[in-house]
Amino acid sequence: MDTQKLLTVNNVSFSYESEEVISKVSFEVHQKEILGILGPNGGGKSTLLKCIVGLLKPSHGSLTFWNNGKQTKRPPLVYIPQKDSMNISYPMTIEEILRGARIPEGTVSREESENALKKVGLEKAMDTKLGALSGGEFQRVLLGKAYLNNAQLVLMDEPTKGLDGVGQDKLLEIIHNFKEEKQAGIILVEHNIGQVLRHSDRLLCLNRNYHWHNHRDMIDKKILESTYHCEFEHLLIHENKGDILSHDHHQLHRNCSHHEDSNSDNENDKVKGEKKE
Amino acid sequence: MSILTDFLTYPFLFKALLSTVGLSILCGLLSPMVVAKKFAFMGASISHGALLGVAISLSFLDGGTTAHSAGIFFITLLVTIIAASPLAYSTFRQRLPSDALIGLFFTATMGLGLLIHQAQGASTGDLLSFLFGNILTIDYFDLGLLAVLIVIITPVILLFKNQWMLFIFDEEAAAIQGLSSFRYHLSLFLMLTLIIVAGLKVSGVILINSFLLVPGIYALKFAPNASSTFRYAILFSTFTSLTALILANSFDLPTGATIAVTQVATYILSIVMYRK
Repeated sequence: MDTQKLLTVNNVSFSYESEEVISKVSFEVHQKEILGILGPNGGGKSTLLKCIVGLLKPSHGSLTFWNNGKQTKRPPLVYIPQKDSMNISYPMTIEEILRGARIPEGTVSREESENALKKVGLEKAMDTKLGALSGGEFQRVLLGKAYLNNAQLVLMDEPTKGLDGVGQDKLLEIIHNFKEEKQAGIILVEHNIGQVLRHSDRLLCLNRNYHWHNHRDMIDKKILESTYHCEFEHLLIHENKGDILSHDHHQLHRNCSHHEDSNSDNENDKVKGEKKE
Repeated sequence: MSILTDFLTYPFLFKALLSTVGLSILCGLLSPMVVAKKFAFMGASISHGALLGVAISLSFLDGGTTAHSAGIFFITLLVTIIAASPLAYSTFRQRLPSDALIGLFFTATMGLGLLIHQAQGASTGDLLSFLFGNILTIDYFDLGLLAVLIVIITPVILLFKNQWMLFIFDEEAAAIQGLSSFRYHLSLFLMLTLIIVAGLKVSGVILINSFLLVPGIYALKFAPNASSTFRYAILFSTFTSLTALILANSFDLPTGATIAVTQVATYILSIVMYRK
């Protein structure tokens, strides 16, 4: 791939008090590339994103940002969390959130904001409050913000959560357009394994002490089984039901019917995961 | 007519009028952020904690001079900042202490304040006037203080309005974009403490929370956008407190309590009218 490196994550670990949430994770993100991050809930995906954007300081390892092959300080980047993590009671409008895209350097004019909104295909009045938007519309407004501050890296935490199939495809198309136009890198944390496999160039499978990183063509059933600590067929049942798996879901769902068959294999599964680590 | 001319005829009422307008402007500026940032309990905690500062300052000072008012303000401010700063630190970016811990803080500081006051053998009337406010005690120092705070705090908020809005809406995004969230958090805490301590004589430790909350709740409900929440809250706060002041003077009611009830009643009336 003739694209340039934007980010190198080297042996990054992070611990909450004495509990290690991620351990010695290494990967790279390139221009015009989507890195999909897969893994169960509690596996350290959101923690990793917060380390990259600078909200958390890794307890070990380093993050290096690159610009035209030269090491640089953290470039403009946009972190798009889930809508429910924002303070929706505050009546911010689309225009107000976009106006602040270049803070602290300056503010954005209404005309620039309108152009950014067109690029993300949102035909909503600029004075619409963010609380009145659907999850997908909200993600698009924040992508508009990424257009305005020329973000080189966009990090999205479960962007397709709560969207129907059409909404998911539309959003992912906008993400593709953004990375091509801005030559940006996208980091996409997703629970929807199918969407991640379809849209990502590289993958990072992450579950606390276990991680695997490579081109998406290199992934196989065994890697997914090791990431989720369960068998692939079992994983498909959850995927079809739209469940979100936690890193210890076997312990939490011992009485579910489809776990009964696999309960006997639980210990083996865990051993399998630990051995891979 | 006499209701209105009273305010011009009697100096204490004129001072009460000016101080109420001053406090309305200050609380109107901060109130939407306090409510949106879920600082309501924090504000209550700071205001109750201020009673400790008042009790300590009354132990050192007596008399009704301007120096007395200034002494009470500065000692109360210092004690309140020192006592509440661990709370300010622990509430930064989700390091939220439990409600029980905040409750423990303000009951302990308030109780300690009452004990210190009792031990000094001071009259309980002094402290009661700080619990519920007493417009008769307002002097020119208090008016000057409110004017200085308006001159300082208004530009701090309005010149950096977009930054404050980003900080309130999404503290993490603000930090990622390079704003010092911790600095904004501490500034909000400091402005809140300054306004609470400066407004104690008007509305008292307990009722000042009405000034800090109701205008913000109203503004977040009715303002068309975040920028206009400041304007909505200031107008609501000024209108309701002036109405309450006139009612209190006309019917010989306690001012702080009348302001609190008028603000809540106006908000409820607005909701009812809005639904119709």
